[in-house]
Amino acid sequence: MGRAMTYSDEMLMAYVDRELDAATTSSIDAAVARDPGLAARVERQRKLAQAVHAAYEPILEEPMPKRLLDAASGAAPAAAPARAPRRWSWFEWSAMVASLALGVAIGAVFIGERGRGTPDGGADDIIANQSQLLAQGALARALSDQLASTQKPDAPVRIGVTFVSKVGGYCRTFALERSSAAGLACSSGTGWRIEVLAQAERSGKAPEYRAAAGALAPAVQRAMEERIQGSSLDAAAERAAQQSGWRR
Amino acid sequence: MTLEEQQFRAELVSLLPRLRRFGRAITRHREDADDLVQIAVERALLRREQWQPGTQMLSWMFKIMNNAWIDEVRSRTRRDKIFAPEEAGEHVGVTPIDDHLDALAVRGAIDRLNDEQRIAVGLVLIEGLPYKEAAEVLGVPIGTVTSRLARAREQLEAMLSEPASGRRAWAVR
Repeated sequence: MGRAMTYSDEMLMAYVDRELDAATTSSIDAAVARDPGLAARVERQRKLAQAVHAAYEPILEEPMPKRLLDAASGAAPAAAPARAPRRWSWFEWSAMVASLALGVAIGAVFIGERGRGTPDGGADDIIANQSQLLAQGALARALSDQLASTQKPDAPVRIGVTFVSKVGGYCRTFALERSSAAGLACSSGTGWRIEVLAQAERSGKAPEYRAAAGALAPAVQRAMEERIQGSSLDAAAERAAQQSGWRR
Repeated sequence: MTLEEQQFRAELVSLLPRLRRFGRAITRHREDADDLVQIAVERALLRREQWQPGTQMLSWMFKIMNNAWIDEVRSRTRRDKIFAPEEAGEHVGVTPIDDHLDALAVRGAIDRLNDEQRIAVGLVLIEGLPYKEAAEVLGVPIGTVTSRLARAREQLEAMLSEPASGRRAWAVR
């Protein structure tokens, strides 16, 4: 083993931010493993980065001002009475996703324009909370408790891949048997935020997702690729993450 | 509304929470941040044809926000008017950096960085952009982003490890 290299703070910063090429990264990995002083410097950088990120995370949960929703959605800025977040049935979501032809379901701006006369008897798996979608009910429970390695093949919610996102939290892909929808949810500290929701292709009326349980809908795949840091968690890491309450 | 516009608007809506978060880092003030987001949204809708589907709308929006901040919003912010350095910050706990850092202290420290450093921190540490994308948003070389980030982190470390007596007060929001 040669003389230990010295690393500048700037380089350690880039290391923590995962900006270095693979060769440099693994040489620093090795140096960190044998040099506690270097490990401590890296840990400081990492803590600072995490603290900065965590300090701003709650802003995502704040209620969205109506003026911004109106500006972005083009909704007539007519005064709408405030209402409690309402549940969307899967039927509505499916209709909305299809009508947008996006493959990706978006925030709650269309609340109030939709759902009139629509039976609300569908699954209560997602709640629209002004600016974002939160998992609840069976979906939330599955995201929190279910492990891909041990789940039953006929589980109503199937967990796919679990990974750590570039912003530091855990994210999991899921598929819903009943509604042939799939999505990506990320842990927000207080629950699971739905980042992407897509409808699986249908042929005829039968949901196809059971057959395609191993595959990801393209929109979900894309969303995952954008967010993933490193590679996905293996069964042991998934279990450890679950036991830590999805906190890092 | 055409389908295309509908899709564009839907994507814009989905980005709002992140635009607000980045806006908060830039402006250091809730209302200013929302003003900035609104201006950026309006500009984006006017220049809709400049956005290429398939490219990152988020980065494009951050760029519009950064430009709007520089050429319009910065000069008329509310924040500086309510900045009360002496009385604020009593509630900020004294926490060495190795312990739990409370969010208020961290935000307070970021608020005290200069514009360039704060925006780099906003893009990379808060919004998680790779350096390359952050450089594109800012229209600067990647090395500039790296050095702004490095200097910002040095200062944050120093500020957050200051003992209580030497600590300047934080801005309140």
